[in-house]
Amino acid sequence: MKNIFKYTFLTLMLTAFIGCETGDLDLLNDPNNLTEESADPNFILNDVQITFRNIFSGYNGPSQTITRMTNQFGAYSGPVNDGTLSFEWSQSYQMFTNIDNLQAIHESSEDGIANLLGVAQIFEAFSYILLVDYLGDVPYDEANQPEEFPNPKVTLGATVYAKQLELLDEAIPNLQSGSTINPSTDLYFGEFDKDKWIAVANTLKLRVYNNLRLTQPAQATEGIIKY
Amino acid sequence: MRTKFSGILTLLLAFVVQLTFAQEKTISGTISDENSLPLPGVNVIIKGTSTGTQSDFDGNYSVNASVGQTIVYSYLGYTTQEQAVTAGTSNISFSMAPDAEALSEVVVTGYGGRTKSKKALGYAVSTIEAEAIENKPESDVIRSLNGKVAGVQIVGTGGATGSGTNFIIRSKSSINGNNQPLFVVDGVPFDASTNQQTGFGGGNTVTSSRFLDLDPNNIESVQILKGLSAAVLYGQQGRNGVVLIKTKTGSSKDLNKKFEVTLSQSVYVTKISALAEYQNDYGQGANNAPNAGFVGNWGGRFDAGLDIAHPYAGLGDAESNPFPQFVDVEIPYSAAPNNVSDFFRTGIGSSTSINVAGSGDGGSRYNMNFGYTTEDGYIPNNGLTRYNFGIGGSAKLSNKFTFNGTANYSNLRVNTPPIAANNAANSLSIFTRLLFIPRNVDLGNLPFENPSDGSSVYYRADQENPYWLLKNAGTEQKVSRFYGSYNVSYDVSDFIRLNYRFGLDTYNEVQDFKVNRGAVTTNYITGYLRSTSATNLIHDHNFNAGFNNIKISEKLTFSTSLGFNARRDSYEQFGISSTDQITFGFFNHKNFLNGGDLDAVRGSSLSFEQEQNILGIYNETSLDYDNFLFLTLSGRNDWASTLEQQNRSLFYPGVSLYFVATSLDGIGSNSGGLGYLKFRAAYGTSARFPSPYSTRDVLLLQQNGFIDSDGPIVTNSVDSERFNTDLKPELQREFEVGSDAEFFNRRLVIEATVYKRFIEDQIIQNPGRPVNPSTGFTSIADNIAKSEIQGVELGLNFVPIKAGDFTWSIRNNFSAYENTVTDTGDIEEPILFAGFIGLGNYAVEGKPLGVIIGSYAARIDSNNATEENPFGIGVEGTLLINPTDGKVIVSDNDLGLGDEIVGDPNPDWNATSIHTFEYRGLSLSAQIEYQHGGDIYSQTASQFYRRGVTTVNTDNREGSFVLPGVLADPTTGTPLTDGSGNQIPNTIQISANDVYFINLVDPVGQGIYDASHFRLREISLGYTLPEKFLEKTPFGKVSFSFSGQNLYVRTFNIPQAFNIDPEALSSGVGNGQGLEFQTGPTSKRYSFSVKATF
Repeated sequence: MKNIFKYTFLTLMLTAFIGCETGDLDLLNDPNNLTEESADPNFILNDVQITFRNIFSGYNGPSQTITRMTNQFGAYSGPVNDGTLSFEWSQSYQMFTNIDNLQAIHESSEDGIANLLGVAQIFEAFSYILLVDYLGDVPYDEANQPEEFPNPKVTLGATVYAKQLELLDEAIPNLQSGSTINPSTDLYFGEFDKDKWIAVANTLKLRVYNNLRLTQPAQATEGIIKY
Repeated sequence: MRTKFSGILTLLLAFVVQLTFAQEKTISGTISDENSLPLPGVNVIIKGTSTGTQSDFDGNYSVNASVGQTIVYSYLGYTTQEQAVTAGTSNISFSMAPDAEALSEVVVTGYGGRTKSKKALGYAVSTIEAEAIENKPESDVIRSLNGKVAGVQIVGTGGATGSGTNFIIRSKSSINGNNQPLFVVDGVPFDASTNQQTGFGGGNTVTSSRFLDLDPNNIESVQILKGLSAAVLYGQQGRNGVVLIKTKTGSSKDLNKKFEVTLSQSVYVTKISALAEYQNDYGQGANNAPNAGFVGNWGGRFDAGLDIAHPYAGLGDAESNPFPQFVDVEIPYSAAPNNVSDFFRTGIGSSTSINVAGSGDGGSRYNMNFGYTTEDGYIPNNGLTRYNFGIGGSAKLSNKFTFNGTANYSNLRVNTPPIAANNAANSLSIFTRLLFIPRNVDLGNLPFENPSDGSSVYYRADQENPYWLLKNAGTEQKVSRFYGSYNVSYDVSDFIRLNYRFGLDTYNEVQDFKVNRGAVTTNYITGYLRSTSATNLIHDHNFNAGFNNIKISEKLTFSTSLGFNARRDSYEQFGISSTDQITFGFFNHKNFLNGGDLDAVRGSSLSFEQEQNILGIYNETSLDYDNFLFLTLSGRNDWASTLEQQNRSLFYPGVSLYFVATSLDGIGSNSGGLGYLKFRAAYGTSARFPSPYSTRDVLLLQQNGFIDSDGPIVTNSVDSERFNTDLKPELQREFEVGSDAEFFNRRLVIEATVYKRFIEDQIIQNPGRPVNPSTGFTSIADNIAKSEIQGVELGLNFVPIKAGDFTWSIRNNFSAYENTVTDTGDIEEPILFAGFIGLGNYAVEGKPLGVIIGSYAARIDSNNATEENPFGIGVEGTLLINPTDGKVIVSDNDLGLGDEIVGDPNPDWNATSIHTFEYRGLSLSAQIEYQHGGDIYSQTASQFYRRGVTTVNTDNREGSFVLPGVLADPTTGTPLTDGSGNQIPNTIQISANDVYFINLVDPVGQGIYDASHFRLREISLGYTLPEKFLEKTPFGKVSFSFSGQNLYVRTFNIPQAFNIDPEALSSGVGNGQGLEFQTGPTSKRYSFSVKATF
């Protein structure tokens, strides 16, 4: 009889001991991945740098073939098909989400990460410019807000273009702000140099004005002369 | 008044008892069976006491009893008899009657361990007894069940020993979620996962399924609960069906002896099921000209007396060729007839099993098991070794406590050379071209290793020599596992029982994939070693209170069981993947220069962990009206840790109603031989919760997003699959109706079931529903799809002859199902869930689940014409032929058309017939099966056509062929017309080489075959020695058996000379179906075994 009590007691102990762990229903956070709170802005910027490279070369592939910069093998359905640009499209918007996260980190941290954000903004502007160059009207106002706009509507290409000039005009002061926090990796210039990135931003503005010369000649001329 | 009366009665009774105690006497007698032969081992117990004896070999017994007591005679398989001892009794001798009811099974319902007679169930249950599993030449218990149960699909992922087994009950209820059934061993959950480390390109098919840890010789019975109403109490994991396994370790079966030892030993051989019928007339080359560099066998006749370059002549000049002696060497162009068959071997296996069972006084019981299995597969360096130990016991204590428990340990090691889906990018596999090596290449007699550095040498630079792979590459899986249960119950009264059961199942699984440097396939060239170590743990607690057989009125009986269940599953894996081997031939991670958690073959981290907890409360209430009308209500509520708080709870009820018509007056054993007739109807529901971590956002970390001159660049990015906070569990509903009938004293037994299941809010996950990419995400886990499964299962058991000692019995089963995707939400594109894009299983709205979509040879059928497609170009109709070369026009490459449905892998129906002939101790049984319909994409068949190695396409090689069809514009498919507007039949002659090698088998649709086939699954011959032979030996029972498995397959629409077994699945354990990508033919096995009990 004594033994039975002992066993019963042991059983209950065991239940209580394991039961706590077994009963826990708050196992929702993925232990295998970081959360946005634990993000390192440098690593996000690395992703942006690499993603932009993939987007840019993605556009180049079919473009070079179509314009006969490189040989076109096979039929026209070879280099261009239904799926052409879908990679560049989805990668661009994914990159914008990551840049939005950098923006959030910048705003929430005490010292900010103005240099990192400036570089990222240049990539964002360049990507939007490419999207408009290739496709015309693209989602902008409603993009990257999955809750509010699960199916974002397009914004006029001209508007998107104008917004990119504004964005570049934000990027330049960010890079000039004197922030001492520099990107840890600069895959484009080897070592981060804010002047070179400002030059990129200005070059892109020049490109935008140049592309606007037929639709908005006055603005284009003014912009080109100014820079 | 009443009380007074019973009081007097009690007193009287006490007096009588007192009186009778004084009159103890010896009762003796002889017990015989129905044929008046002595029956030894009959339990003779004085009712209400633990005193008793057993009859001896001559059926004689003697026992002391008192007048007024009752003697109970029991023997397994016979009706228990009671005989009262009166003053005049001294000899009680009689013949025991066989128990027809003993054949009717007992089924455990729910974790509470409550057993019910099968006759008291409102749903279909299939039971497989030990005889069908033990001493077979098969180490995988589930594969032994193949064809024996209606409505169950068991398909091996390859023929190599230890490869995975896909197990689906009543078709798949989830498009891209888990559809494998829940295993419950001795009342507690048992993990049956297949922990594949890579996809099918990386060789997942050789990963063993964790039910391989079970020893088939330690299994007492397997019961399969198929429908939802049967599985409600088992929680959400039971939705895919429940496999209830009772081991001998956990057995509580009555023993005929107090102590019994069973020893069984079998020896078996494993061979490749069948090789193709190879031709020996034509060899390597093209267009009837030999060429030593080619794969195809279009090189002209051997008997032309030609020479051909040595296979290794082209590996380099005298300087660079690893075998300079072969440079410029020519050898006779002749067949090497056994170049494929010599690669394989006859594998020998053996299995030893010892079972010790005993019973003590007062209903205690103990079991010990030991099993040792070693098996060599038909492929060299493929085999397994398994040890199983188990102890179990139960004790009934006088104070109404019952304890029982089991503890099992298993240790398994499986070795397999690399086998992978051949057409996947960068797959490393011995089967890449093994089954169609050129007929003149004498592979087995050629060197395969570069003498200077050990690297692979082959006549083709694009793959490894299969012999090199055998020696230098392979996988090893090592599993040690502990599982057991601990159960305590307390009988509060005769009607109330409390029960607590704890189940523990934990294993460590180590998988190594090793390749010496010197391979030529990307990822493996510099040497490769991937090791993973995984720990899986299940804790299962179950508390249950049962109120049984409570009489509400004279005719109405009520039983209810209320339970609480908590189950925890955790899986934790560590891994490292290394490349750049330093010393050739040595496998240890320190012998590799580069290593890390990121594996190139898997494409992701090897280390991860996940855990999930599920709490459930359940109830089952049954009402029995006068033993003919039964109503059972059941329900369970689950709370799962994989969902946010507002969505984590789901209640799912079930109800079943059945009535036993034969219990009514007027319908009974006298009317037309009808012995039993039951009608049943059930409605059941179950849940599916998503896999963990789908509701919270994560940030991905990639260690080497890019590698620059300074080393890897780390990146952080948002996951492209968006988290879904609103994800809900899905609810599945199923209706089932059926009937069970027995005629002519169980000589004819019919069981029929039809069911229909509705799956709504189906979770689509990994990848989830595509979302508009301009949201920044590309997919999201979501409840979107709907599907419906309906089916029929029939069982017909029939004893045509029962004359004297001879019996011929037939067990037939038939099943058919339809699984239709009724809604895929707003997803317009077909959803790929297994295989490749453009050669895989898809979910398409309105179509059967798993249709195979791919390219096709364009055809034309004016009946299919539409406004956009005025000629009716598509998969069906007359072939369109290119007027410039006389070949078929391919949908995608030539016409730029999208892929279409080219096949449906779901069979129309399956039937099995098991015939058993018994005469005295001799029994012969054969299991034959037939599958009707169901398409398979067979890469092997396509390759056999393309490479011309078989006797199928040897005719008219020197002549020409005209493909039947009409000429069409090769870029638009528009049929050409002659002057009078008629289509022009093709008359362009092309060579055999052009028909088969380049064109006809290219499109996916051309590789689809109707997989209808006939199979001789099993023949076994058993002999049990008559007991009188054993009288003077210590043995109680000795039996011998021969068994052959998977002996013959006849395909009706795949050329028989290919000898392809369509029971193959190259996409690994999962939801794929009908995809055969050369992961190895099935095996054929023979065994001899002896079983003896002492």
